[in-house]
Amino acid sequence: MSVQTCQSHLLVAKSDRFEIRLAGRGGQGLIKMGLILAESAVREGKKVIQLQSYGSEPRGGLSKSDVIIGDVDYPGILKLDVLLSLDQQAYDESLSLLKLGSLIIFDSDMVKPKLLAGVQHSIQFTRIAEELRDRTCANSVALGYLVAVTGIVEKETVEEVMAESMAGKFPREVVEINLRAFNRGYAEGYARNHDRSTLLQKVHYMC
Amino acid sequence: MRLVQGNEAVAEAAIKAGCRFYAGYPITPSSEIMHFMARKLPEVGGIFVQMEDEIASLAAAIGASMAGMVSMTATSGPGFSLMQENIGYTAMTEVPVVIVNVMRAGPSTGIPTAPSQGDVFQAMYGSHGDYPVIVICLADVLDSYLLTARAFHLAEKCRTPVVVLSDEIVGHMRESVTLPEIESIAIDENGKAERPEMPVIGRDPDVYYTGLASEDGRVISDLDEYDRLIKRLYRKIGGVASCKIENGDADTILFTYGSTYRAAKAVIKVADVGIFKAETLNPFPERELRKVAKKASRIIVPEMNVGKVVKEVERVVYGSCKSCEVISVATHRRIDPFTILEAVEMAGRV
Repeated sequence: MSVQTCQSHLLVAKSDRFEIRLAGRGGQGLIKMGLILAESAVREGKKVIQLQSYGSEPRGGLSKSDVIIGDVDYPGILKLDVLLSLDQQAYDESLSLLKLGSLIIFDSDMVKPKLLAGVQHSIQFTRIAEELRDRTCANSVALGYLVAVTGIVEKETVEEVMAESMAGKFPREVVEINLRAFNRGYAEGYARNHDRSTLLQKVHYMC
Repeated sequence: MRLVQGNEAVAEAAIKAGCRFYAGYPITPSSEIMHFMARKLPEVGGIFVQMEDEIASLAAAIGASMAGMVSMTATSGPGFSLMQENIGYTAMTEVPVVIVNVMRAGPSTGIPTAPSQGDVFQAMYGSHGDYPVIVICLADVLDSYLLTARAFHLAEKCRTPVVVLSDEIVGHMRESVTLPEIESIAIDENGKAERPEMPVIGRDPDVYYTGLASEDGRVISDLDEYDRLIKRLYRKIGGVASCKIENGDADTILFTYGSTYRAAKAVIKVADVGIFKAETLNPFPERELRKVAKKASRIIVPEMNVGKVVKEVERVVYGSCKSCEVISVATHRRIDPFTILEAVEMAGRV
């Protein structure tokens, strides 16, 4: 829509919902992380909607997974509270959906940030993942960071869901490395949680 | 509360309602239904078959139903087009079967996989001739569960095909829901329903099913008799129209079906509007719509197509109430709350 009317703003303002987008390239595992995040929120008794991109995206193109927590009337993004991006194009394309003052988390090796009004965190998720083992667990590092800075779900819940959802499908060492990666990301986020208080307020108000 | 996908809810409801036979051919955005059935049907003693195409898929489902099983198939637009002939056949032979169409953008291969509501008229009128078919629309995950179960019960009760219309948004969204228990159709240990009034292959002697017009086991060609037959077929589904109305006394009513309902639910919070949610398109919930139209100044019909069901709404509303205006909001993008709000505001200004 080209012109946002007063009521449209009211609609966003009146919706007690927390919208998170995990965006990147197919194969980075962000859809899986969206599912883990959504499942964790359900276990904590929160209302959740999870959506993901379909098409050729999951095979190398753009890929996105949206998790909406709280007031889940409309199954789609109204205005994003948090954008986590591991890819430049995914970052660029989601900017128009951001709410004023939203949090943007991106991999500084993958994304060149733009000047924006929101809070931007740059972390080298992929490099951290490579230090741990290889880049395939960058998604888990990123999820750990996101959970730490937003506090949207408890760390322990995510660990439980992650372990359960991977058990039997992957060798035990892969599950363990992902849990370690998640914890490493969480620690990074925890160390930089100076913005967390404002986000947490909203989360608590909503749930 | 669980995190459940729309397509999974459809499949779960099917099994709980007593469905023990699935034949299908995979197609996005319906494939998760098939995946679920392939995994779960053998666990409950059911039969799962992947067929060579959608024509054969519905043919197999009809055959299984003729042999006493509660059966279904699921597909999307391209496959649904192929099924049209057999939909007429199952209506004429009065064999219960449930056909799920998870709509995507067409025509032809269209956009795999963008959401759409372009198949609504095909679902209502796609096969040739006059035939009754119940068309049910799913708005979200809970609907996918409850209304799919209802589809199976209606198919049994009316001995008619039931088309369940979902779309890419509803089929692929995952939502936190609590799914209640649902009543199962009575089936025996072989997964067969009793159906005392219906000839069943393997149970009854000399069963003959034909797409020719027939009554009481006789092929008919007398047009008076044929007229009575077709009218009887239509009477079977006469009373099953279904809808839900919220804030029905409002001046502006949003007529929704399928996934547009949830966008309207967001709008109702910030604007003084009511929602008319059609759960069946065939039969069309005419009586309820007429009642609403008598009180409202305008009815807005958002839909993800060129504006189809709005014609049905106009027929019903203008036929009984000249003072109520019907406004179409037709787009091939997702219908979001902003789109509907804009239409509500524009209508209010004029």
